[in-house]
Amino acid sequence: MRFHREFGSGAGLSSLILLLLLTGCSSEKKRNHGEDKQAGKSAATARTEKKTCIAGNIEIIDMWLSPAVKGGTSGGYCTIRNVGDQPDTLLGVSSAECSSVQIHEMVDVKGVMTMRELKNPVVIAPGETFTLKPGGHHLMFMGLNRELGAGRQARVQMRFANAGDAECSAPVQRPGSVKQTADASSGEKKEATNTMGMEVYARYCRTCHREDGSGVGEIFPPLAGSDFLKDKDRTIDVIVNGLSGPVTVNGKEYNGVMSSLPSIYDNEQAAAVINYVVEKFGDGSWDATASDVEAIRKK
Amino acid sequence: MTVFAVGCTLLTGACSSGPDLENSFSLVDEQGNHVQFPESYRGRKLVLSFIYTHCPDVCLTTTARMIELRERLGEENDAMFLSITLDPRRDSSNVLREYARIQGIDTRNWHLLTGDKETLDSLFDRMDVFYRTSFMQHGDDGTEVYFLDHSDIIAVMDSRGIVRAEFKGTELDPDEVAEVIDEIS
Repeated sequence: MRFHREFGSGAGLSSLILLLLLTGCSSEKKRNHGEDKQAGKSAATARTEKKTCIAGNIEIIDMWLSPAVKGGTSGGYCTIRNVGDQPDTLLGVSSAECSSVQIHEMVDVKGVMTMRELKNPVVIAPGETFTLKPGGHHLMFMGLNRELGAGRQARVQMRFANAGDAECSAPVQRPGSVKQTADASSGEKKEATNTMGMEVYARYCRTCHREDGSGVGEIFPPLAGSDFLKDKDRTIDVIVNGLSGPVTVNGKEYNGVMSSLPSIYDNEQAAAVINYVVEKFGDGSWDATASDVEAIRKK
Repeated sequence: MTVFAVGCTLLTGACSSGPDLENSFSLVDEQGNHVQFPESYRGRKLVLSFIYTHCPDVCLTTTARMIELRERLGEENDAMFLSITLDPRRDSSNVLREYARIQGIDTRNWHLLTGDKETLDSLFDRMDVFYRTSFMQHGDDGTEVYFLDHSDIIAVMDSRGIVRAEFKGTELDPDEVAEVIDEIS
């Protein structure tokens, strides 16, 4: 399940136009404007937008770096806006604070946050923006010459094909103080995994009702899509008190015995497995608490 | 009737113990104290994250979310936060202490744990936390910089050491997690 891979710093990395400007160079075009402007972009969050620096028709907005120790790595973020009428290309980023800067992207591959270096230069069309934000793209400042503590300013240079060099001075901030959220997977509902419920199901219920809740033939009724699960009190009753005698599920009759959940599982654990079943196999329209279970449990 | 009842019971009878972290892991916290995970924290609810200090993006966001959660729970709440390093090679106790200082982590009820690689690997295995080296770069002076791809998990454990819920760390909703912490015992 786990493996280690090492990629050497071979030709693949060094051939990139975009990256690895090794020394911070000074440039004749030193324009570093900080200008407060109400952002009209989003009605929901009227933040004050700060232009960190500009070069030609390129504006760098709200650049910031994360705190890091000397010798460590800091993540950097900003929005790049092309206000001109020609596309422009970000050729590279460098900083006097560190030995090298790269651009990486975070991709969630089945729960594993995977970092990928950008291989192609970033081209920004006229009127468009390119945003680097946590969980998405970030600048990587590697081999810091000094500690970047919150509150300090970091010197960053961004080089563009047409606009030339933008000399930037960006604040070092803790991510928590920056109200940016990683919406890389926007629209997905955040759900906690009901680990307890899942484990109890696996240990006690799965044998008869199966992993997919399909049950077994005429013997063990299905849970998947079962109309039985719509009745909260009855479902709790069956699990904590057991069931015997004829029962109809989805129009079919079953006549067996279901043992109650063993007493080694307390009310909380019973509620957890009940909620797991209702969420996974039912319509998730109700959930049980430990108190609900207590109330129904026969003394 | 009895055949099916007996059959079901016999099949499931063996699995009688509740889910638990059976093994004990000898680790070291950021102060250099030797601890047993999870025993040393038995009796307290735990919020766990898996980080490494060279992480430029994910871990910082996750840590920031945990800081929000800490604030949301308030000072009265005695849940213990633990951040366990995925990179014991570079993340010694000293390094973790510096990281806590820089990231604004209050180590009174939030500890950062390291240990030997073998122990940590078996803990990660037990908790289904995955990591791998994503790339490595060698500097001219022989220094080596590497980064890790890893699972983005925050786990909530109850006071018995049982994992009760897991969340995506970078998208943690402090209110949602606070609710889970309140519900468990």
